[in-house]
Amino acid sequence: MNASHPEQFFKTLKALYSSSSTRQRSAVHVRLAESFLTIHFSRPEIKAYMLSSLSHILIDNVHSAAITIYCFDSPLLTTFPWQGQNYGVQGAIEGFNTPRFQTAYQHGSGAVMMYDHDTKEGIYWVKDFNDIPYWERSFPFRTILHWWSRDTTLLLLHAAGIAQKYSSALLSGKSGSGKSSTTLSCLLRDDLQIAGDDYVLVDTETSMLYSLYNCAKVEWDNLERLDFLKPLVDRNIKEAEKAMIFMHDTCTEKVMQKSRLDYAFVPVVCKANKTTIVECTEAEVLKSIAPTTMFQLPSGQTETFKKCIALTKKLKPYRIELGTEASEIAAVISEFFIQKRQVL
Amino acid sequence: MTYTIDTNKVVSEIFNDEAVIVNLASGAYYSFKGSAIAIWQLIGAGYSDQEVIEQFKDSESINQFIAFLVQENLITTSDVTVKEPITIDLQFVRPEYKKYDDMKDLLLLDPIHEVDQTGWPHKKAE
Repeated sequence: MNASHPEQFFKTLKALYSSSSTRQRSAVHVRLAESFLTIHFSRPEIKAYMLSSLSHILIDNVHSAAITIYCFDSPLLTTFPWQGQNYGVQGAIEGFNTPRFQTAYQHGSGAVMMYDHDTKEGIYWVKDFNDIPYWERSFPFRTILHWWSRDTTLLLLHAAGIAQKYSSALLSGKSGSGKSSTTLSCLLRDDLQIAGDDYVLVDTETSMLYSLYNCAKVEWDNLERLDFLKPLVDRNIKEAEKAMIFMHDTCTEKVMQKSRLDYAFVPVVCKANKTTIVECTEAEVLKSIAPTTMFQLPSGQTETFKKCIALTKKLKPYRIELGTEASEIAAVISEFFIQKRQVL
Repeated sequence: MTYTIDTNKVVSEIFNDEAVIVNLASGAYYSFKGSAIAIWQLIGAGYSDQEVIEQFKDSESINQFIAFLVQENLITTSDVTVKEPITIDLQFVRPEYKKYDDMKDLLLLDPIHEVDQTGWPHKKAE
């Protein structure tokens, strides 16, 4: 396969975006840690659909963006410059991932994503925006942002983030570990905030935690147990496998934008009578943050692993052995932060 | 026999009392404790299985562990003869090793799609 194909295909996609109606196009700017992202949308429907989870970090103007993304749909792209055998794991397209370009196909949405490390431009294309699945709304452009972060000290981490005043903790772990329900229990306390439920941005050098997405997802079954969440659920997304809560819309004061990251909590579902937070090991933290981050996002697993190691060594590691009551869990977390602040 | 670790496919980090290893190709990750850590380090530094057994004596557990590493594609046979300098814990503690494969489904291609001539995946006929 010709090495220029990724560049040619990238130009093809960008030209396709440029051919969309100028009257319908718009651009928004988003704060990404201490940098900025500009997203160009081909039409308002796509913009409205994809921005919900980023609405809390929208800003009016930027002098210069660290990354630009073109997001559009078009039925005009009917063939691809690759063959069936080139579809690799996690959708990475063999021959189209070079030091400069990254390319992946997204199962479920049919989207094609590309990123040019030289120009710092990304493309998210889909044939019809109605094909974009509900879950893409909760963490839009995560793959492109993951690619962009390769050349920065930032890590797009599959973890939740919770905070009290100026200190925060990661809640790590794969789906089903109790991460989301523990994170959302923090909504019950005035003194706790949430940086994210599923993905957060972390600067592995400065140990700053940044919110990226304000959407939280919870299993429909769990809503009976966590009934305080029911009024917050977006009922317009009926086809969703999980209930979605866009916190910026429903409880904006609970969304924390950035905080110093001090702790890592590894949640363990014990169904104990009482929630306890006990010291654990760095190895436990690494096991809970690295594999799930490495294998959720295509390419760059070795670099992601190294960043996870660097981050693990900066955080104080704890295991949170979960009780069954959300209010009790939140109270224990709150008390933990208070006690740690008193020690400092 | 000596072995090599392909660092393009296997990454690891060693902490005080536990090593975390990730197989990038399979999605499996592992925890090594006890002398499994030192054995992993020695293998990676170019020591042969015989030299490891001479160091720690417990041939049965060492051979079982090395067979596990081979089976999991974490190491492959090699004709490397150069040994790298290494510092290890010389006290033998029975090797402990645990495999986690809860990530492997994330690496599977969407099983319901085939790919047509245009390069576009379509849902497989049931």
